[in-house]
Amino acid sequence: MKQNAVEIEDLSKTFISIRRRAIVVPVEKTRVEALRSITLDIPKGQIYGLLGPNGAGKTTLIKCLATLVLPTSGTARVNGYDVLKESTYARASIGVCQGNERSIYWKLSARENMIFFAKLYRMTDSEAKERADDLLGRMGLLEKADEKTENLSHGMRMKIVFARALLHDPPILLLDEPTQGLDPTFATDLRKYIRDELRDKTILLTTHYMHEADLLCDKIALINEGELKSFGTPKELKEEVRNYDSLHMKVVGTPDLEHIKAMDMVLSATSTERNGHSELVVTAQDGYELAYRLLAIMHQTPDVKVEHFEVKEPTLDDVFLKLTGRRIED
Amino acid sequence: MTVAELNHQNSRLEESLYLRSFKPRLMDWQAAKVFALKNLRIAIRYPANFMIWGVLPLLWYAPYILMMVAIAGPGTSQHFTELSGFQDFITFSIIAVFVYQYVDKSIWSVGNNFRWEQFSGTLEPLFVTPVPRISILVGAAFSDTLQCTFSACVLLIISSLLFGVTYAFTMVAPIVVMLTMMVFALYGFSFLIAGMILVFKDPSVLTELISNVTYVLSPITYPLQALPSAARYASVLVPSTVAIITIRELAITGLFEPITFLQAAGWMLALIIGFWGIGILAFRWGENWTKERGSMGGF
Repeated sequence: MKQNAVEIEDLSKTFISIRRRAIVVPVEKTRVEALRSITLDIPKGQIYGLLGPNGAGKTTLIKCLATLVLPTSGTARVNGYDVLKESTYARASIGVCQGNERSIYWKLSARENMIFFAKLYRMTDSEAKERADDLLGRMGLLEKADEKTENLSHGMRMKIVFARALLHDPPILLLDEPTQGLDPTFATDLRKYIRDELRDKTILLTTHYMHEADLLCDKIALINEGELKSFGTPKELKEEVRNYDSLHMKVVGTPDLEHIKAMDMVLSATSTERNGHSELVVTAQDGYELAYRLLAIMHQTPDVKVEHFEVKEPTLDDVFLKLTGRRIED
Repeated sequence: MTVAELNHQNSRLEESLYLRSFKPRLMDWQAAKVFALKNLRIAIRYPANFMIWGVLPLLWYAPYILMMVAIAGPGTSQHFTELSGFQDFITFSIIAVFVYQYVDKSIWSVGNNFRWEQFSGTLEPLFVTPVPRISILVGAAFSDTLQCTFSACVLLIISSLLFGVTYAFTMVAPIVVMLTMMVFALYGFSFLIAGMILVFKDPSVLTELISNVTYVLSPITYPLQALPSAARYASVLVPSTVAIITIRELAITGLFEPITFLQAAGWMLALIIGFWGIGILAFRWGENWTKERGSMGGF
């Protein structure tokens, strides 16, 4: 009996772009390694999060599994089917939701969109209508079912895109940033639905929202620059930084980040500037000792004033920072 | 049984009703029909299109009539009659313009449909369904052929009202057979263009080139004999040439000659097989090319 719904082995994808002179003469070849030897197994029935910043390779991995992008090397199987050699069966086994509200027909109503795609999965007229209404009802969109999609809000459109992925009741769902750009109410609704109603599905969810991954996922893989950095349950991942504290400091002016990084007790440090303020996040074994020393340094630095500081429990972002030296939201 | 089918049969993972009964197909006619109906439904929601479909072909055609009248006088000339074997230039050319509506639409249709899906952001969701690509291509082509039938009929009705042209309606059956064969042959051509569009994205220059070459080689406003001899040989490879010559003969003279018709139909069948083979291979190549570069939904 197959144990894993998704099996990825040594999967790599390199994009090559060629800049040409006078349309035909190649002058420069750029190679971008979007995925580097990814190996990952997802047992059936699990919600697996793929967490990483923009450009980390999350969408490329989803597209490889969805048979939209050909891998350069390695293998991937969904529901036991090789995405290259048995791509039709693989496609029949997956539901894909890409966080793009344009991926439905705006001139058609919500119901028409759903029925159209349902029929592509060989449902009869009555089956397609029943399934469409069932899913639109679950999404709270039945009252708007006959409204042209162009007249619906962004959140409602995204719910249709999400519902479409469920039409043929696939055992595996590939959700690529499904809550991106949604207002908090819609995002919460969608997360609740994923958590409560799709427990029997195997889900690969990409996100750069840490709290989303923390809330929904049984396991999380951290990905950066096409490489898997670590994976485990949210708890296991946080264990990696259990012995570290995270100091969050809001500062007026620009502190000397290199100087802070050079301090012997500092493990990592990042700074984000906004409207003349800097938000400093520094990890160290003892957050309070670090705060004491940093406050002393800041006090002596001209044009820099500490407005607020807080020592926090480690988050997935801190794990990511420790592993990659950058923040997920960078 | 293929390895994939065997694998599918032995799969023990919990599967939905859909997956249990799923079987890949070479061609899914339901999907083609659903896709065509979807396109028609969207087209109807742009009502201005209907006006344009009917009137535009006349505007394209008008300069040729005016030029003919200016050079040879109203209706005909001795040289035209000798060269073509027909008496009236307007009757001669309107039936060809009618046929060419299908040629033009078939060349543009599938590629433009794919381009439209790319722009709309709906191409990738279509391509993650297990529907054979050929069904989507055929569906796109069907919807455009139906729209084209509407505009071509409007053209014929307006032309008969304006110029008083009449054709032998007893020949409708062989005309429809020849027209259908031509449209099928051109579908293969448009699959090729759809593949090119997946790769090159912007269809305008490529399609414009092919469309214009076909337009020149098809004897629409002139008899085939007017073409230079080399171009005349090339024109036989274009499905519209055979179709226009056969349909014109049937519609104007009202005479059905079985042997001539079967010869034309046989040649058209060869063109259908050739164009579909090349078209499907080119589309597959284009699809793989874009998958390798990850640019399926890009524009």
